[in-house]
Amino acid sequence: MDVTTSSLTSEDLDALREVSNIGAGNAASALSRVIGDVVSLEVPVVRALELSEVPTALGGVEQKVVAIHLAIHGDVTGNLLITWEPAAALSLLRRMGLAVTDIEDPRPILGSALREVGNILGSTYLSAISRLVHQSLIPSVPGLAMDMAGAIADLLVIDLSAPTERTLVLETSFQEKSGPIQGRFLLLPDPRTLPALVRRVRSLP
Amino acid sequence: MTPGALQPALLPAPRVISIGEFYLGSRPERLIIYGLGSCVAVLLHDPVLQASCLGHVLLPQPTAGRTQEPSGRFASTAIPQMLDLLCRGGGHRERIVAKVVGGSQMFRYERSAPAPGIGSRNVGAVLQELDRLRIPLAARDTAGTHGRTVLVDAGSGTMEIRALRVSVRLL
Repeated sequence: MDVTTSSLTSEDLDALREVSNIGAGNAASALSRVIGDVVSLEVPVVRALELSEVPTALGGVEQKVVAIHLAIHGDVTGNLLITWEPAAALSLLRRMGLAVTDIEDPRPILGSALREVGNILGSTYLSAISRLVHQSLIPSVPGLAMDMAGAIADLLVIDLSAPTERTLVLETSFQEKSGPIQGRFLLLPDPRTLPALVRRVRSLP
Repeated sequence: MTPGALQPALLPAPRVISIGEFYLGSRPERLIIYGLGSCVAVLLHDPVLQASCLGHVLLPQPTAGRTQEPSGRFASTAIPQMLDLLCRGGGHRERIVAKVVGGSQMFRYERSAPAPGIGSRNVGAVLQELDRLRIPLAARDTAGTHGRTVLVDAGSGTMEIRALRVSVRLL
């Protein structure tokens, strides 16, 4: 089967959104255990973006974003990025009980906390997808970056051979009692393993 | 006198050089690369011709299975072509100098990997290729963990480097 992210049909995207929805729902309940508050997740919007459009989707090429990277190993390989605007990352840290007023605060515990949140969200998300499609998606240790959206997006292009490859961008909004924390999941399956993933998604009831 | 003559001369917007592209420009052109992370900006400049060739490379060299990709994506294939382009445009090899910017390690890991990241491998490959072609390195601003936007004045070869936490630097 010849499938690239550019050749996905709207039915494929719907199916991937459904799969991601379930994954993100599990991620939200995992997050609620961490920040000790009721967290629900709004239906994520799934878009297939060309990679050149990713920095704009993250707020602008020179805009500061907080990003967690998890490399995906297993039957399906690729990359997962979880991003927040700085203000959203700051409220996330505060709701974890950390006294912080500036996202540039250099204390290592803040980076560790963000990496841990990314790890929990990413692992839960990937394992939910894994169970649905009966393929393994194993996350690497999380990496943290806080910089220009364009510079962060370099990472997504490195493994791709075609500049027109697309990434799946899932807009998520974690809704909890004291207000929403908006974030994004960017799932970029390796072009080599995308066909297997799509085949599984297409065969879901 | 037309009303327009009272307006200060507006510079045209700089030309954006995306990943895998290289471009030869001369006065008064300006070239820009936004949000450079692990990628590397390579500038070849001839000060007498007052022209510069700017490239935006992604990886050190084409690995197996990736030889069909645009040659501008790889340090080992982009730089010889950039040199050729500049020479065909009137540049003289013995006058040409290089400037290199970028190659950051954007993501930090808890137990950071001992292996050098893609950013430093990119810088290494660029310097090696410049050395092989005997192009002297005039300036560099490489490595680190931050993204950079690079604005180039093609005529003078001046590079203006902007970053989020670092003040503007001129190369």
